[in-house]
Parts: sequence; C-alpha cells; structure tokens
Amino acid sequence: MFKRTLSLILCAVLALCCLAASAAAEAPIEITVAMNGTPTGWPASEDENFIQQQILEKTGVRFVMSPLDNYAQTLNLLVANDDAPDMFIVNADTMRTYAAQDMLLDLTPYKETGLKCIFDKFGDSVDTPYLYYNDRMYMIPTNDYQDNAYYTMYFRQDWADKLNLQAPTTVEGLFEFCSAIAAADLDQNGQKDTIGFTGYGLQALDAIANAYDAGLGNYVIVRDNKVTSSLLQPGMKDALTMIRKFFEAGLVDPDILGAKSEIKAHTLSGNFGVSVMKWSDISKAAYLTQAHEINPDLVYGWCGPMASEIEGAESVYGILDYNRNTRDKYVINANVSEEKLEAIFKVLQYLCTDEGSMMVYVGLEGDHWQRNADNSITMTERGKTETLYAYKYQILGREEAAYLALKFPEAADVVAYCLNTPRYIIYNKSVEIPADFYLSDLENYVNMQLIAFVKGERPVAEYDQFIDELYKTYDFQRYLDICAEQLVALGYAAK
Amino acid sequence: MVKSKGDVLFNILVYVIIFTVGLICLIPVLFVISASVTPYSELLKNGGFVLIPRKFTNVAYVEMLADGALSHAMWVTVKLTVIATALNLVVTLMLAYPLSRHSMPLSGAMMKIVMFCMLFDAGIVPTYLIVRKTGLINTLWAMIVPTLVSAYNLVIMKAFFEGLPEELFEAARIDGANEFRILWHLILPMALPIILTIGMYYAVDHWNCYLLSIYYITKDQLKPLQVILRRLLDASRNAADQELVPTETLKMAAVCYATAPIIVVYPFIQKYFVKGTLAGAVKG
Repeated sequence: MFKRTLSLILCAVLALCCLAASAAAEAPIEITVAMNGTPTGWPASEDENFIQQQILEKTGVRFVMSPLDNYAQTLNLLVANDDAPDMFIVNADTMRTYAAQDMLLDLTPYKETGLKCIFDKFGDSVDTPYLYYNDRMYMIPTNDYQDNAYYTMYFRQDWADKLNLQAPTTVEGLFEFCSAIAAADLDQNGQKDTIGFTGYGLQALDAIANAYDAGLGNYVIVRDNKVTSSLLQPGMKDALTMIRKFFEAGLVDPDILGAKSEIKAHTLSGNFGVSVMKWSDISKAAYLTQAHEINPDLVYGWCGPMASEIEGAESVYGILDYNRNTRDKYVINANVSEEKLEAIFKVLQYLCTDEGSMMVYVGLEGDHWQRNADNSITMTERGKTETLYAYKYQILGREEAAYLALKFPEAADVVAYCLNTPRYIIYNKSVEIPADFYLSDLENYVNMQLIAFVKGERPVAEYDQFIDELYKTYDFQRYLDICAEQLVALGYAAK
Repeated sequence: MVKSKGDVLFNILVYVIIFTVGLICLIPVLFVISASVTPYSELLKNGGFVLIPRKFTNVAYVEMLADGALSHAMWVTVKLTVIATALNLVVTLMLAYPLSRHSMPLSGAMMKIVMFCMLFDAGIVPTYLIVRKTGLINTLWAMIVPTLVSAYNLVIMKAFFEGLPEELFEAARIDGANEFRILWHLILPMALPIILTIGMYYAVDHWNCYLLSIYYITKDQLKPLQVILRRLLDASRNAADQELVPTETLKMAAVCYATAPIIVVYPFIQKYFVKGTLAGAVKG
C-alpha cells in the first residue's frame, strides 16, 4: 500500500513538473527597454499599455518599456553594475563610451538580416556615420526628424489685416511690419506694450541674419564647395547692424534671451508683431484653445524666409543640420542571448510594417482611429486620450510629414509651410571633435560676444577684432581645419 | 537701559534688511501659489508671471487630483516618511545613547567608525550592488535601509545626551532603575526637543526622497511624490512630440501639493529646533 501511494505521489510530482516546464516554455520572452522620460498619459500598469499588448499578440514578445528617471545618471549606474536593460536609448557620445568598453552589441552583421526591414522601409539614407564607432554599427538606424525644422515666423494675421499690412518678405519689410504693429496699440490698452519682435534666444534673430547668409552661432557651412563658418561670412557685419536697428528701435522683446516659457506666453497672449517659434509650441489644438481664450479674434499667420540681401544667394531661414539622423537612438546590450536578439528583431520587424507604424503613430484601427472613404483617418474618443504616449514607441523614427498630418491635422498648414521652408544648412553634427579641442569654450565665447554685439554692449565695428580673438585665443583655425578635413572626407566639400 | 539714537537707527536698519530679505524669499513661494490658482489664460496675459491673483480658479487642482498618479505617489511618500522616520529615530537613539555613555566598552572605537562613515562615502556603485544583492531593489525598504542612520544626526543626538548631568543617572541608579528604565522614563522625556528636531531632519529627507528611488525603484507603483513631480515639471522638454503638455498652472499646483504637508508640519516642530540643535553645544 505504501509503495503504491509513494509511486502515485511520485507520478503526480512528475506530472506537475512536466506541466510547469511546458508552462515555462510557453512564457513569452521578455525584452526590457529603458526609455528617457515619462510621457503624458503613460499607463499605470502593463495591462493598460495597448502597444505592449499588441506587440505581445503579434510577435509573442513581452516588450517592456520602462521610463528611467534622471536618465543618463541612472543608466550609467545600471551599466556599471552589469544590470543594464536589453535595449536602451543613448546619444552618440554615450554610445562611443559604452562601445569602447564592449558593452554594446555590434549590429553590423545584422544589417542584412534582423535590421534589413529598417533599410527596406526608410532607404539606405538612414545608414549614417552617426550610428558607427570604429567602423562598427552600434545604434539601431532611425528615420529622424529635426525639430529645428519646426521653426517659423508667426504674426497676427488679424492685426495685419486691420492695418492693411502684408506679410513681410524682406528684412526692411520685417522692420516696418514690427514697427507698425508695435506702434498701433491694437490691444487698445492705452499702453505701448506690444512687442515688435520676439522668439527663442539668439536663434530667433537668425531670421534676420540668415538673409545675409550669416548666422548667430558657430555654424559650420559649405560655400563654393569649401568649408567655412557662418561667423566669417561677409554679410555678418551687415546682419549685426540690421539686428542692432531692431534693438535700437525698441522692437525686440527684452526677454528674448530669457526663459522660453515667457516667450511662449508672449506669443500665446497675442501681444506681438512677429514671433519666431516652433509650430509645435503654438499651433497644437490645446495651445490654440488657450490663445483664443485670451483673444477670441486671434488668427495666426506665418512668413519667412526674408529675401536674401546677398546677390545670387538663396533666401533661407532657420538653422538645420545637414545630418538629420542625429537624434538619440536605441542600442542593444552586448549580453543579450541569441534568443532575445531574435525577439528584438521580431519586434523591430513588426514596427516596420504598416500596421506597426500606424500603431506607434495613432494607435490601433477601430479602437483609436477609423479610416474614412477618402483614405483620411478620424481619431476616436479613445484614440484622443489613449495614444498620448505612442510616440515613445517610435524607436525606428517616423515618416515625418505623414505622421504630423495624421497626428496634428489642426496644424496641417503651418506644418507644411515649415517643412517646405528652405533652411540654412549647417554641418556641425557631422564633425567629431577631438578630445583635446575645447569646443564648448569656443562656443561659449562666441555666444557671449554675439549677445554683446546685438545688445550694443560691444560695437559692431569691433567685429574683426572679435574674429582675431577667436583665431588667437580659441584656435579657430584648427577648428576649421578639423571640420574641413572631416567634411571633405565625407564628400560634403572639396579640398 | 536707555537706547541711544544710533542704536534705534541701527535696529530699524536691521529690521528693514531682514524684512526685505524675507520678502525676497517669499516672492517665489507667492508666485507658485498664485500661479496655481490663476486661470492659465490670465497667467499668459501677464507674460507667465502673477504675484497677486486677480482671478481665481481651482481647475489646476481638480485636474491634478483627477490624475491618480500624484495621489498614489503621495501615499507612497507618506508611508515612506512615517515608517522610515520612525525607524531612523529608534536606531539613531539606540546608537547615540550608549555611545554617549563613556563607561561603555569600545565606545571610542565605535565613534571613530561612525565618524569615518560621516567623512567617507562608498559611492553609488558599491551601495547599489549591496542593495541589489540584498534583494531590496523595487521595495520600499530600498529607500529606508541604506539611510537608516545618519552619522551627522547621530553626532548631534549623542552631544545632547552627553550634555545631561551625570548626577541624574546616578540618582536614577540609586533609586534602583536599570539602564532601560533610565532611557525610557528619564532620558526620553528630556530628549523630546532633540528627537523632534532630528525627526524633522529625517522626515524632510524622506519626503524629498528622489535619488534613492530613481536608482533602486523601477516600478511606477513604488515611485514617491518627488519623482512624479519631477516628471510633471520636465514634461515640456518633449513638447514637440507631446499632444498635451501640462500647463504652468498645473505644474505649480503640483508643487504646492508636494510641499504643503511639510509647510503645515514645520511651524509645530520649529519651536524645538533651537533647543534641539544647540543642545550639548555648550558644556561646562
């Protein structure tokens, strides 16, 4: 009897073990992913995360994205303790540091296999030097956007109409336009408090400087196939003189070099002539509602670039780096198993599909959006509230124009205008600065002096002296040589 | 004593300076409170800055409380502060009291170890390794155990106990009290100012717990208030991507929410502060 009972118990234990083993075998493989920052609407639990659930359903992979607070420091801590997640997002500098310590997986062998879907979807242009360290690709390629391309010059169309003003097209016209609005007291409060020209920092004043083929910063540019700097452009002094004219006339926002939140407040409150802003800070539905609460009649217009003052030069406005794929990107931990790597590629392949792309843009069809007869889409009520964090899953980047059209239909006009604005192309991000060159010292000095020039604390007549200082004190020639050598090697300029 | 004209003028000057400095300190606080109760459109109209609100609204507070994350984080922080502070006080007291008794064997050597901990820190990585190996990651204890005793607070408390007259202990012993009875019935009631002061130091530290939670806690359900608050304040960094960015009024309401409990408790404890921190500072 005892033997029988014992054998029954043993059989039961064996059966349970088998069951447990089969259950374990069926458990989905888990990939841990660290993301930088927590988006609005981030779900409180994994069950409420529709994207994670959808990826699990479609690929069988539990793709767990978790926000890391104080990202860079916390990631360093995890990496130092060999506790890093399977995937995490980094910038190029961090990638190089980790790659040099063999902490990242070399993705070069997978370009034709696991990562092929990305090149098929976005083309070979996403395969940029930015992804590499020592000729090995460590970053997962992405199709990036540059939010610098979001800048435009806003004005109040309703005020321009009241004064019969046309949108400015030249720098002189811009001066006249700002002067007219500032003088008119259109808010009828009896005070001369209307700001003529505002925007985010020195960059806003590039709206004027770019018309002289110059820029207010240490911008590396290519002219006549040669590498040079925007600071060395012949039009730079004229640009500074014109900017001084705006300051001397009292047209420039006294807070222009201050906090962005204040500048944004000035623009949303509508008490300005021209404001250089990102459309994403003004033309989203939530912001438009706020602006209309203050001024029900407010209608925004946008303009730019101002016509070039340099003969034969293209009219451009706004700084844009030639190397557009320079946003932070995901890398894979060197310690991931073959099985996990396969799972990661499976997820990436799903995100490359039309269904996967739409999911990280606007959610799931039926639940979050519906397709109309004309192929446009309409977001459902659930879509408006549940997809706020979806952009965090755009780990392969996005097709910018298509995405913005879907996501921000209220801003379609200004978005199209921004995306089609010819920009002042710079090459700074394509240059890797050697460790023994202190670029930040040079750039700090340049910014400090440019602020002094535009505010009139240093006369424009001393501009040549300033350039001499750059050569003598900050080794500017060496910097230009470094840029030239690398940009020639990349084929962006000739020797 | 008759005060000279010069003394009176000097006093007036001191009062004016103190009042001005106080006012300057108060302005940011006033701005945060005013911004939280002002309609956002009104705030924008004033260039994002309001000191005395002309229109009132509680929209920001309603919106903030409707988001369960902040309320949950508040609960985590309250739990953390109460449990951790209580444990801190017990452990600090149990260490400071015996160390203050010079009759205790090896008290000098132990004090040297305490001082060593106060001057030198192992650094983040070894501490993280210990917390991980002891299985504390993603538990409330990860924010409590590593900071169970502050050497600085221990030294202050020890100095207080050393300042108590030896005759008290002798009298208690003659009356037949054992060491535990002496501590419980004699020392503790007298040590109330220092306990409250040190307790306040500990409580404020735990209330503001940020770094420990970002190192050791990855589960959102265990994140304390300061982390969630920081997320809210940082949200506008990704403004280009986000559809909804919290308004300044909402951010300011969250700041008020996070600081209010400490501001409410502080005045009640404050009266013990001078007594507590100066205790033991002057002997003889």
